[in-house]
Amino acid sequence: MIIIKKYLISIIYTVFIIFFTIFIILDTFVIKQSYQIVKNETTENTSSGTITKDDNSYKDDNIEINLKEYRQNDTTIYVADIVLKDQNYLKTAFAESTYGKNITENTSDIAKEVNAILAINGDYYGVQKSGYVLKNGTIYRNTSAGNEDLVIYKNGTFEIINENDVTAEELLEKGAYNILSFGPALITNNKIVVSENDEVAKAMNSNPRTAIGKISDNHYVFVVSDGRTTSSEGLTLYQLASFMQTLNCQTAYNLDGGGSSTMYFNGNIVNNPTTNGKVNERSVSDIVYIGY
Amino acid sequence: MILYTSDTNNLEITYIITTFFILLFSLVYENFSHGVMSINMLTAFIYPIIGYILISRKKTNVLTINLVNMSVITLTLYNIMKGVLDIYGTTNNLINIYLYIGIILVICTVISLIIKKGGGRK
Repeated sequence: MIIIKKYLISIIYTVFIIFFTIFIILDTFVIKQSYQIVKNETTENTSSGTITKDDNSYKDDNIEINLKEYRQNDTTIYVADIVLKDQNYLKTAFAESTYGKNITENTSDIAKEVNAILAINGDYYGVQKSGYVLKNGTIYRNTSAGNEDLVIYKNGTFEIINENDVTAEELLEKGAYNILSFGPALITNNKIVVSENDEVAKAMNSNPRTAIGKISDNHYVFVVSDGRTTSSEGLTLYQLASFMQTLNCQTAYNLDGGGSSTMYFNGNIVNNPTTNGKVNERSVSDIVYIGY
Repeated sequence: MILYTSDTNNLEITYIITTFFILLFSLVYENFSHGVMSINMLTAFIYPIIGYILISRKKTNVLTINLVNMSVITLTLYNIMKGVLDIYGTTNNLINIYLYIGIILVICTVISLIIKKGGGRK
């Protein structure tokens, strides 16, 4: 009892700081904050011909997608080869059609809501306090995190920029339509720009990965690798970059990976997303997709 | 008020157990982090060690021990929370509050130690 009395200040302080810690955990991972409701943009389906689709392909007058599976570095890699008549079919969408914090949905659920033909997880902007958020021609966040971003312009051009070098407003003025703020860049001008020691959040281990690449005008690839399972080890960034190079990408960019890595195609999840050691889809803030 | 052996012995044991617990927690957390390494997480156990050294000194007064306790828990939690957020790949500016309070408490602890030392010379 005497000891408790002597250390009463420490005990009260400890209780206070534990409550503060619980609040931070809830604020970071649980409490939803909606900043803006967004009307996910849809483009008129001008396809007049017949639609041909199966588990591995989709084709109409405007969009052609072929899905292939590769096996490299003890890892299964899924590649969606995309040819578009118009680059405007390459889009992004928010979870719950809302820009905010801790607002997440499964990639497949967001994809279904926007009638996506093909979708991958995006940059998971929601876990960051800063970093550009520019989606479908609208700036939602213009604070720099110093990230290396992929800028997708209205004309379909891909450009890698650093947030410290140019503002979101300047990029919008130049014609930016979507910005993906995760990184790093894997390939620019057909050359690998990551080294074997490059890291994302200090991780250079083999992990599930998601990447987007541009091969030529209106010709893109979405790439997702399995990982963290007994059948697939996962890829390092350098292995991913090397693989993207074999696909002849002019520009390739790493998106949020790990448990987030998900590819959705024709109504099904293509890969084996892993969450907490189990094959299970993890909810994310946003997706990149192909659709009308 | 000066604390003598029986009180400080209990506290020393608490600090030793805390140090090992934090070290074990950090290693287990890192083991399941899929290769994401956080220096903050791995070095969190250093604060309880420093606390142990300070409270092990003879004739440490109650105020100083309380300040050491509060400094250690604040900075240890800062490192652990920073590690958790780093490993998850997210940020939260609120964790800087641990750091600011921790620094203030460390300054107060140092002042308390200096005053006591100065008083001892008189």
